[in-house]
Amino acid sequence: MKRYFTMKLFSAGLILVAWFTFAIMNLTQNAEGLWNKIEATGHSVTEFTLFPDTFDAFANQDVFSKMSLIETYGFLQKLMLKNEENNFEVVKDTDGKLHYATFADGPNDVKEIVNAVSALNRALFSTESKLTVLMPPDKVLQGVTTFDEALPYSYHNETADRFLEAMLLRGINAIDFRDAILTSGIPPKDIFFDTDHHWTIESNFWAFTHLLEQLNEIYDLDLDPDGFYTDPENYNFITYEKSYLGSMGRKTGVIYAGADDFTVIFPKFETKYRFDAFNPLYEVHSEGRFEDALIIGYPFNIQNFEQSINTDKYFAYLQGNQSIVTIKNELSDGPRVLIIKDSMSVPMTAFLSTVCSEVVLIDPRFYEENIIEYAIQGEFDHVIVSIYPQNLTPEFFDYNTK
Amino acid sequence: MLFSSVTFLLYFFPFVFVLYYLFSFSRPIQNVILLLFSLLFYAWGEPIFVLVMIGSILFNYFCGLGVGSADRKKAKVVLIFNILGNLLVLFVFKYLNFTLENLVGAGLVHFSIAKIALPIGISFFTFQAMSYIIDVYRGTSQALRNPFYLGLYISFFPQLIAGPIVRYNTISEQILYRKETLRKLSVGTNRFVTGLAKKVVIANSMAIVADRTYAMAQSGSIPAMLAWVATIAYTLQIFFDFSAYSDMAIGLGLMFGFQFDENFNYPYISRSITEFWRRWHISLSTWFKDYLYFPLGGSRLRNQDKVVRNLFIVWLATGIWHGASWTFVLWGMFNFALILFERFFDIEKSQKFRFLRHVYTLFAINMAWIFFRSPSISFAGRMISALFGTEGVYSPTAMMFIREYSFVFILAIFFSIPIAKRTNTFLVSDRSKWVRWFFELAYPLAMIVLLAISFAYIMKGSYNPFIYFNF
Repeated sequence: MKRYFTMKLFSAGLILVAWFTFAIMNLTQNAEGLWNKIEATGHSVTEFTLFPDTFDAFANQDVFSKMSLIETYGFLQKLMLKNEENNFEVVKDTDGKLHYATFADGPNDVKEIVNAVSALNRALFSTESKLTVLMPPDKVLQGVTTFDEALPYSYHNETADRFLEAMLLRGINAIDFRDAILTSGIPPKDIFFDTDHHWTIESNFWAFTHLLEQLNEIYDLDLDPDGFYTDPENYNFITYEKSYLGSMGRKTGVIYAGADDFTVIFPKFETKYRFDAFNPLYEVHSEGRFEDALIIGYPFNIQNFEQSINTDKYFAYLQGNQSIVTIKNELSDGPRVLIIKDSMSVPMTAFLSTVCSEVVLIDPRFYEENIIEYAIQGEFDHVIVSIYPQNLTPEFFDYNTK
Repeated sequence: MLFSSVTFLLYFFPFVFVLYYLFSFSRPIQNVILLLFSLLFYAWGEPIFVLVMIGSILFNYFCGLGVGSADRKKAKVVLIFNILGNLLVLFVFKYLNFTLENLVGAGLVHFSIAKIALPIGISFFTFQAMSYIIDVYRGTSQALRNPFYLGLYISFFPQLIAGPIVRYNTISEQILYRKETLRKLSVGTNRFVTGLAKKVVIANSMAIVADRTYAMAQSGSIPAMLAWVATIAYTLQIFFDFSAYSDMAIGLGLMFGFQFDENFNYPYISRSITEFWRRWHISLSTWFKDYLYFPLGGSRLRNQDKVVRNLFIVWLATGIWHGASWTFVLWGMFNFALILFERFFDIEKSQKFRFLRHVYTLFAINMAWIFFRSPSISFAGRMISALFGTEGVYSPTAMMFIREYSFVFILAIFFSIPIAKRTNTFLVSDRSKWVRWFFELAYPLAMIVLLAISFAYIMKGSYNPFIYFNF
C-alpha cells in the first residue's frame, strides 16, 4: 500500500511540475500581450460584465506552444483514423484534402443574391461597363472529389449551378471555371491546396489565361493578341516545397494534414505598378515591379519553420483581402476593370493586371460605401463579379444598402 | 468558469493553489482566500449572479443563527421560513417562466414575463444551503458564527457548479480542522487529471455524436441505427461528463485538504434501476433520501400506499430538480415507475437472470436518458419509437459516426466498467516484483500523457459543451 501511494505521489509531483511549468511559461510569454489586447478592447478589470469573456477569448487565442498542442491533437485524430476533425470543423476527402464541413440538406436559396447581381446589371445599363460573372471552382470538384460515405456534403456546387442558371435567364454573361479547369491540364490533385480552401497559384494563373480567352470571345476583344502575357514561359515559377499550411491545415496541424508546396509566379518581363489598398483603419501603398508592388516577400523569408509554415502565403498576393484595392499598371493601356470579389480571385487578379491599365478590387464584406454607385462613377470597361461557390451568400452580394 | 478551460488551468487554479499554500500558517486566511476565489470563479460565468450567491449565503447565515438557537419553536419557524425562502429563490430563477408558460397555455393567466436567466449551479448551491440549515436544526452540526465559513461551504469552487452536493455534516469539521497531506494532494492531483481526460477526450467526443445526431433527428427522419447511435452516445456522454466533473471536484477538494463523498460508482454495471440510483449522482440521491424521503417516512411504513406516495414525491422532486421542463418530470416519473416495478417484483433480491437484468437495466437507462435529452415529450416519443424502426432502419450517417468515433466508443464502454478500480486493487495486492515495477513506472507516465492529451484538446479549442446549464 505504501508503494502504491508513493507511486501516486511521484505521479502527482510530475503532473504538478509539468502543469505549473506550462502555466508559468504561458504567463511569461503571453501576460503582457494579453493585458495589452484586453486594454485595447476597453474591457478592463473594472468592466466587470465584459472582462471575463474578453479575458477568456484572448487567453484561448494566445497559449504557449499552441502549434505543438494542435499537432498533438491532430496526431491523436490521425491515430484514431478520423476523417472529421473537431466537431466537423474540417473533413478529409479520400485523397487527404481538407474541406470545411457543412451539414446541408440541399443547395442554398439564391434569389437574394441573383436579385443583387441583376440590380447591379441594370445600374450598369447607363454606362459603357460590361458585367461578367465568374464562377471559380469549389474545392469539391464534381466527378473528382470523393468522401467516405455520409460525411457532410455542402451542396455548394449545386448552389452555384442554380446561381449560374439564373444569370443565364437574366442575360448576364457568366464564365464557369469549374468544368474548364478539369480539362486545363492541371492534375486534379493540384488544382487546390490540400490544407487550404483556396486554389493553387498555378490554378490562378490558368484562370487568368482562361478568363482572357473567354472575355475575348464574349466581347470580341483583343486582349493579349500574341499570347505574350498568358505564356507561362514569360513567368518565373518558384516552388517552396512543403512550406505551406493553409487555413484548414492551421487548425489541424501538419501531422494530420501534411504540408503543401507553394509556388510563387511572377513575370519575367518588365513591369511597373502602383498598388494602393484602403481599409477603414489603415492604408497600404507600394510601387515597383510586379513582385515588389503586388507580392509581399515576408512570408517567404521567415527563418523559423513553425512560423513560416503557418504564415498565409496565399495572401502574399495583393496582401489578401482588403476593403478596396487599386492596381495601376503604368506600362499598359489595356482596359480598366472593377472586380467585386472574395479571396479566391486575388492572385488571378494580380495576373490579370498585366493586361489592364487599372484594376480595382472591392471586397463586399469590408467595403463600407455603395458599390453600385462606385461602379457607375468609375466608368470601368468591365465589371466582374467573382465569388466562389461556398461564398454564394448575401454577405458577398450587399452592393447598395450602405 | 469551466475546469476544462484555459483560464482555469493556466491562470486561476495555479494562482489559487500557490496562494493557498503560501498561507499555510493561517487556516482563517486560507479559508478567506478560497471563499474570495470561489466567488470570483462563480462571477466569471455571469457576474451579476454572484449577488444571488452572496444573498443566499447571507440569508442562510442569519437563518442558521436562528435555527441554531435553543428555542426549538423559534428554530422550527426559522427552518420553515428558510426552506420556503430557498425554494422561492429556486422557483423564481428556475421555474417561474416554465410555470407561467403552462398557466398561459392552459388559459389560467393572461400575462407573461421576460425570460429569467438561470444562475449556473443554483440547484446545487441551494440544496447545499438547505442541507446546512436542516443539519443545524437537527443538531447534528453547529451553526456557524462566521459568515465567511458558511460562504465557503456554499460557494467552494470545486463543487459549486456541478456538485457533488456536499451535505453540511460531511464537511463542517473540515472547514476549520481539515489537514492537507501529501497523500491527499497526490490522490487529488491524479484524480483531477483522470477527470479532466474523461471530460475532454470521452465526454466531449460523445457530445459531438449526441448533439449532431439529435439535431439531425429533429430536422429529418430517424432511422433506427441513427436513433440508437444518438441514444448510446448521449448515455455515455452524460456519464462521462458528470462523473468527470465529480472526479475533478473531488480531486480539487483533496488538493486543498477537503474530502468529499463519492458521487458515482460505475452506474452502468447495475442490474436494476434501484441499484443504478445507488451508483448514479449519489450525493443527490442521498440528499433526497436524508432530507425528503426519510422525513416523509421512507420505506419503513406499514402502509405501502404511503411508501408509494413517498417514492412518487421523491421522484417528482428529482425530476423537477433537474430542469423546468415536462421532459424532466416524465423522466422522474419513468424512474419512479421502474423502481416501483422492481420493488413489486423483488427484482433486486432475485439471484436469477443476472445477464438479463443487466440488459433490462441498460435498456431502461437508455430510454430514460431519451426523456432527459429530448427537447419535448413528443420528440422523445418519436425517438423511442424510432429505436424500433418506425422511421426506417439503415442510416449511412449512423455508420459514419460509428466509423469516426469507434475508438472513443470503445474507450467509453471500457471505462464504464470498473477497470481502473480493479487496476488499483491489482496494484496494491501482492503481485510479482516485475508486474509491480511495470505498473509503478507506467502509472506516472500514463498520467502525464493524459495531462498532455487533455491540454492538447483544451488549448486547441475543441468542442467543449457545458451540460449543466439546466441544473
